[in-house]
Amino acid sequence: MQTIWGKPVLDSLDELIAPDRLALVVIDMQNDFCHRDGYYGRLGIDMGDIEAAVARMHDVVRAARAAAVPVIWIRQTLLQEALADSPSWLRRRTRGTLAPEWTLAGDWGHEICAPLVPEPGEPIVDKHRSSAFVGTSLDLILRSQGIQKLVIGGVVTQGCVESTARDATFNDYYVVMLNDCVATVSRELHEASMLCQSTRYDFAEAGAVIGGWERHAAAAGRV
Amino acid sequence: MGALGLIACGFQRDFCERDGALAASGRSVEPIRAILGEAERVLAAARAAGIVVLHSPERALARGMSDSPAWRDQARLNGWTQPIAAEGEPGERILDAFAPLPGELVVPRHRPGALIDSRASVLLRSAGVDRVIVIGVELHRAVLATALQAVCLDYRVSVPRDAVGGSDAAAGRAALAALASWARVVATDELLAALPAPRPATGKE
Repeated sequence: MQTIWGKPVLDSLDELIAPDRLALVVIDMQNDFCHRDGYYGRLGIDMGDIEAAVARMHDVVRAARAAAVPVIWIRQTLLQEALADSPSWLRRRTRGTLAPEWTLAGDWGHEICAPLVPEPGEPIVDKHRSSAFVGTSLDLILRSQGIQKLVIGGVVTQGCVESTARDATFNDYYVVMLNDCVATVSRELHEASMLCQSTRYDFAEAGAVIGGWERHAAAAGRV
Repeated sequence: MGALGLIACGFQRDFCERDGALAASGRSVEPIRAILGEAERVLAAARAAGIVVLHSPERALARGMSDSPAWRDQARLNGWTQPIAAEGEPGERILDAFAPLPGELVVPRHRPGALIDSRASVLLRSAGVDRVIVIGVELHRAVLATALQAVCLDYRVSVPRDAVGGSDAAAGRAALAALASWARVVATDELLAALPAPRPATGKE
């Protein structure tokens, strides 16, 4: 902790990931983005990085539950007949070679990708734009729980992950990026986005965060 | 001018049934039940006219996830003795007469207002909606808050006074009087007469 202009500001990674007032936010790890048979897989994208990120996130989710850190699941959500799309959003979504259909509410592609499985009672926040803070109940849920710090990971790096991290800081949450639980459709895009993000957020690998939670549990005498 | 939307607030068992949570807190739900027929009439007319319909049921998330200390405090002030519209409980179910149809928007809310901290406004904007009709219960809580949020977000707002109601008659009258200064508070018949002509049942451009 340091004091800047008389205000207490969290400082060390250990403080930022301490379970008190912390939540884990898992972004868009849904079948259409993460499963070989989903939208990206069917496009022929190399799924290796994304699958590795899902596997590591699985470990982080289990550790979060053990540390009593709330897990909040974010899902990209399209509705039938573009009900959730404005004209300008349709333009953005259909740029390049992308077809406009993925993560349709009710479809298999919209579901969270195994082995990740939300537990009953863990909030699932559906969103219609890239940022999980735009047009959702995420901020309401976080402030209802008194949460001030977020550990964030998911897909895709330059899209929903970066957008959500930015809005998290603008909404006054501390952000720690799980940099080995984040992936996208190409290594080049991933590294470009992570370079930008590294100038703004603390990065931590899954192992460091899990280890930090275990140390806190040991210190609290409830191993 | 953009499209017209209908926001239907709180037509749920906990607010409307005699064995719901509102009645259990000692309030009479008879004034609420008395407006359901008019509200159904508005919903039917909106559907016939092809208006965008958004259902806005209240929902208290499991594990208290949507309950802040301040929100719990107002619940205490309000004399609620049990959770209202708790996630997954029978009390949060929308009444059969108001059940959403396929293609209609359903966005649960965790506070009285339908448009803030929810997906509702993104969906209305995506549908090109710039005018809304608000119906529902309770008038002095969800309807008032939703209508005010809509005004502040630059929708034009109409409230059919016979299709809104609550358990507190005096608070309801005060809410309607306040709403009349920035929304069109009208009789249901007047509102229905001004709706677009019914579109063909099979029509889809």
